[in-house]
Amino acid sequence: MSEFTYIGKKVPRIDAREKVTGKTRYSTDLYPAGMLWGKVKWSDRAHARIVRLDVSRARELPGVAAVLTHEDVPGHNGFGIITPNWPVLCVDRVRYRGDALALVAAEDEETAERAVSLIEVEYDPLPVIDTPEQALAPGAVAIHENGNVMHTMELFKGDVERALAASELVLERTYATQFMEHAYIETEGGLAVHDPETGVITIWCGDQYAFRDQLQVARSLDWDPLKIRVIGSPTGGAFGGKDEISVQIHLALLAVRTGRPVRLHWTREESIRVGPKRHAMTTTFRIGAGRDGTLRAIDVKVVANTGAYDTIAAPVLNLALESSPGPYRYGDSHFLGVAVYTNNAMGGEFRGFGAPQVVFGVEQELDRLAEELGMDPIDLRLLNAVELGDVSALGHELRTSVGIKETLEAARENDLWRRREAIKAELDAAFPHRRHGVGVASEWHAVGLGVGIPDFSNIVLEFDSEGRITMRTGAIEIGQGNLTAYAQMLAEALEYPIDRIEVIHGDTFETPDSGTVTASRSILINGNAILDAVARLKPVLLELGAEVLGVPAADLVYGGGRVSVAADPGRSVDIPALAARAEAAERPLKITGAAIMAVADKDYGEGLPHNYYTYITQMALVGVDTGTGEVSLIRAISVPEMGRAINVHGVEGQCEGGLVMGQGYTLYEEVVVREGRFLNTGFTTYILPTSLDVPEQETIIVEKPEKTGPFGAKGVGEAGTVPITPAIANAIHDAVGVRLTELPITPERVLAAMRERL
Amino acid sequence: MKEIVVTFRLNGKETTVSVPPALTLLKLLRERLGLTGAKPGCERGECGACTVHLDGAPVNSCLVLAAQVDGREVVTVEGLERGGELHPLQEAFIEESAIQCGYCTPGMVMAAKGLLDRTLDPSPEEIRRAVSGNICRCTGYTKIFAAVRSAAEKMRGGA
Amino acid sequence: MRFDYSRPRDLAKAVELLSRDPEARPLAGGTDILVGAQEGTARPSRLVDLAGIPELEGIREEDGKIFVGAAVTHAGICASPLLAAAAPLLIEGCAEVGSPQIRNRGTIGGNLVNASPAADGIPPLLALGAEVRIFGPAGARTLLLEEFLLGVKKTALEPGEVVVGVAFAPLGPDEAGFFLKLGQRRALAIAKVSAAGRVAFAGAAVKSARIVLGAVAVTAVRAASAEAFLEGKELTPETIAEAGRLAAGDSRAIADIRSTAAYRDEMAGLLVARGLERLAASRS
Repeated sequence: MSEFTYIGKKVPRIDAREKVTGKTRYSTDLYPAGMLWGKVKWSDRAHARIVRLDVSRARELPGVAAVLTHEDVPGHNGFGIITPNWPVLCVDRVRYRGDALALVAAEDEETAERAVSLIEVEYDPLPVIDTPEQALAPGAVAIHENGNVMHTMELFKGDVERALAASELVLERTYATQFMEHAYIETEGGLAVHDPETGVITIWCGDQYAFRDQLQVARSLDWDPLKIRVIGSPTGGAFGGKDEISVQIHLALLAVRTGRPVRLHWTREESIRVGPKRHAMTTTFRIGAGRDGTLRAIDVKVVANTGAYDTIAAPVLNLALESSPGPYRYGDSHFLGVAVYTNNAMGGEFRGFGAPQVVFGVEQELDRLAEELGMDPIDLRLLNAVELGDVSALGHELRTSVGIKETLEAARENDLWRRREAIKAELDAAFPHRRHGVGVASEWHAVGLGVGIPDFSNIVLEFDSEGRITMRTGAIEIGQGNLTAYAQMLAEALEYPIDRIEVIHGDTFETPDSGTVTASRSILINGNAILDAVARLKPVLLELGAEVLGVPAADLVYGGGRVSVAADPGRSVDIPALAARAEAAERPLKITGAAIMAVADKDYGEGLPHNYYTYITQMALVGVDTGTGEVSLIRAISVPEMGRAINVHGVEGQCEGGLVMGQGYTLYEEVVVREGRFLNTGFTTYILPTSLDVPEQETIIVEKPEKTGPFGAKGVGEAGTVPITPAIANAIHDAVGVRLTELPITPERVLAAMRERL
Repeated sequence: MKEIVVTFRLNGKETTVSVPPALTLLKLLRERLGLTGAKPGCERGECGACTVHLDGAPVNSCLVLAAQVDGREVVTVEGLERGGELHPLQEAFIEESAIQCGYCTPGMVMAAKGLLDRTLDPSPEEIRRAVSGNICRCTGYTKIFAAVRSAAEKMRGGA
Repeated sequence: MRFDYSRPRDLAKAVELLSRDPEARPLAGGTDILVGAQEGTARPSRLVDLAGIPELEGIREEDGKIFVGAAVTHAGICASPLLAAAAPLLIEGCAEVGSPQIRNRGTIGGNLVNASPAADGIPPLLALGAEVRIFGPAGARTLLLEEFLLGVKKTALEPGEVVVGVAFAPLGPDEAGFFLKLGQRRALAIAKVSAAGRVAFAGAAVKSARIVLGAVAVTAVRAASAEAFLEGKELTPETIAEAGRLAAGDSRAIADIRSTAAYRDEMAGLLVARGLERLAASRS
């Protein structure tokens, strides 16, 4: 780490000052003069035909500028990252209570709300399908023309039934997880303006991929995409929930119709109800092992409740399958997943992307195996952990850095693990109502979009004669600090002061397409594009230097921000002067760099498998109140291996934040939908961890540089939110001897499990 | 609905506005006074993103009517910076990397300031409690606690 | 939200405004009524701001009782040295309300008038044997808190009446109290169950006990069988366990999104036992 100037250092975030003074303008902070307030009429039914939709009374209300229905959607009446079948405005059917029926724009918020309440809808109810079981039952009403199965994926290696039959030990268990809400503090929202002279629609909307928003809006408005400007950065939290369309198309429709700026900002209740959620999944594992602890076979079946429409659910299911064996060697395997339509919540993209659901189960199964064999849980994992060059449980070669063993070893060396019996005994004595436990779990987390899915980045660098560099990237700053990491990587590669670098981001008119901010990909792909830009820049600098110094380029070298004569370093010229030279010659210095994500050696379709992984081990110290069943997460440790830490605080931040998000998923959070009705409508009933609930944390960074990653970096955005869930469950088992197979692990469930065991 | 004339001190400046009775302080600040630091996260007093100081105490501005601040003092995050100099808490948040998406940050800083206005030697438990009404979805709170500790130390005159 | 607003700064005027318009509501901290107005469950025609009315303010000892004005905030209660000595269980209850921001605004009067079954300020006051002082068009009157609370969000206030404050006898040298709450998390939590107690001792034995369960019935209720059992008994692990069992039986919880009925009933008993354990430990 000490060989670098910027990489691996605690460089302050470049957007921090603006944020801490309240000066940052998020897309929901814009209130231009002449603005109209937009509101959406959402479905009052979970599943029904629309018999009549009457907006006349709403239209007549004074102060209402426009009321739009599906008749006002000029282009494709649908959106969706993979398959655009999520209606912009419903035509004749609603399939969940977050379906949109009409849009209103009015002079003020109150009038807009009143207008929505004046919209009359007559429904012809259809049977409401709540669960995949109901959806797959014979005779169940078909939610879509092609039935209720949205997607299936099957993978296998070898012959799992034979291998299970030959295993000395076979464990089988089913785990069930709940719908989870992103709960970003900034709900979905933004502003749109249409300029009739230029024909340009400008949309400010915190998102994850401005360029894809541009395409989705263009498709629905039947509009030239180049005349749609999307400014998606900054975003007040995304976690996967703002990659899909939220308000963008609605805003564009209203802005074009009214000719005025229109604002739309979902309430917290709308955000919980309408937007995509982490899928509820049921997973059944069968794992075969030898008495020596070696894993032999794994069979995984996943059923995902995907809600009413497609969005990005197929890749989520696929990644659930890919994540399910964990970072271990298996001889034979079989994975089968099915995503099923229901009229429930909308299953979609969420940090972790299918892994949290399955890792909750598989990492408890490993603990069960360890217990059965009398083996230490970390030793069992170390025995089976993959290494570089291994063939994965899915059958592809692991060709990029693999550091799972190092994370397990670091966990084993940690004071909490080494002294866990003494620590637990001390706490048990101090808190007589509690029993304490320590648990550990690991995962591997795919980085990148996977085989067959366009996974690229473009970066533009511009230089001015004062030595300032403007780096342009389409990447959105969703909070993870990637802009700062980009500046660090550029400063390092160019040997240039970081405070002379400005990053312009997330604007389809001002920045190139750098791909979406998801799948833990941003450091890897954008870093490589930056390095590509620098590689292309250097010869240009040498050419410019040749002009200035009157020496052939071949005799020049670049170093420390200067081009110098190799044989006579005293003769040199700096970047500002070179940029000035280029400007004077009317060829301003501007370079584009690009990168494409390297892919795996196999192609199983639809993004499977991946080529890069974050490896991570997490540990939890819990206290279980034996009277109330409450579980307190007292201490937690993350040991991530992400290749190289570009910004140490950034990596810690992703792990610390991800871990608490995982804690919420494990102990408190659940989107409760009964017969299509959302029972939680806000933070009173959707329970997030507060500062009094969170653990003391420690993050131990393990580096195992990946040669195809920028400075060896891979990615780390998601991994920190995943294995903490089974680590907590394993710790609960260590404390009170019960295994919880359903999330969230509420006190009621813990107490019931403890009773059952008696 | 008769409008209410409200005169109050805002970030040290005497301010007079005329508002509808049901307008919240949060909306007054954001929609009419251009101060968008305080944020709407839930509008039910459950997330703290709208926290400002009212007569020196942190409150959820989404649950205060603009009419109720007549004759009182309001301080928002925008009022912390003095002549380009950040408040030690703001500097600590930057140094400790306690900011990710930044949306909860103004409210978090105002809540923490409420603690440091009363004591410069808060215990770890007091720090947690002071921000227990502020939800952060990004950071896991670890670096927020560190920032408050660090600011308190600095303000005490420590290292 | 849409309503008119007045700030009379005068008790008689406030009462007049409230009696004149049956759809008008009093406004103090706003942390309940403004949430209701945002959600549309409350539709007041006018909010009458009670700020600046001297009769509603203050925490003081008078005529052997502690008076707490309706307009005193939960934060004000938590910071009161008088209450720390005279009624620490009230501080324990008010310290559990919401969050620091909510406690800086929410008032004890508002907590009473909102009459949520899960209110944190109410069980301690009920355990303390508090009376509610009221002023209205017909003048002043006083009700015991148990007479004041009628049901979920229902009180005995007549149109135009406001709560002026509460009063209770301070804990004596042979008395002790407790308040415990079980929520889904440690802050910003609505109680699943709570328990409060005011216990008077004669020597080592319990002379009398007022034990109150919160969030397990339409209003906070007395754990009457537990109280009856404890009279004359010393606090031992056995008597404490039995009192807890009886309290669980006194509980009438329902199921909702937060928890089940059976769990709540059982936890009511557990909280009572733990509260008594705490008392026993502090007296030994």
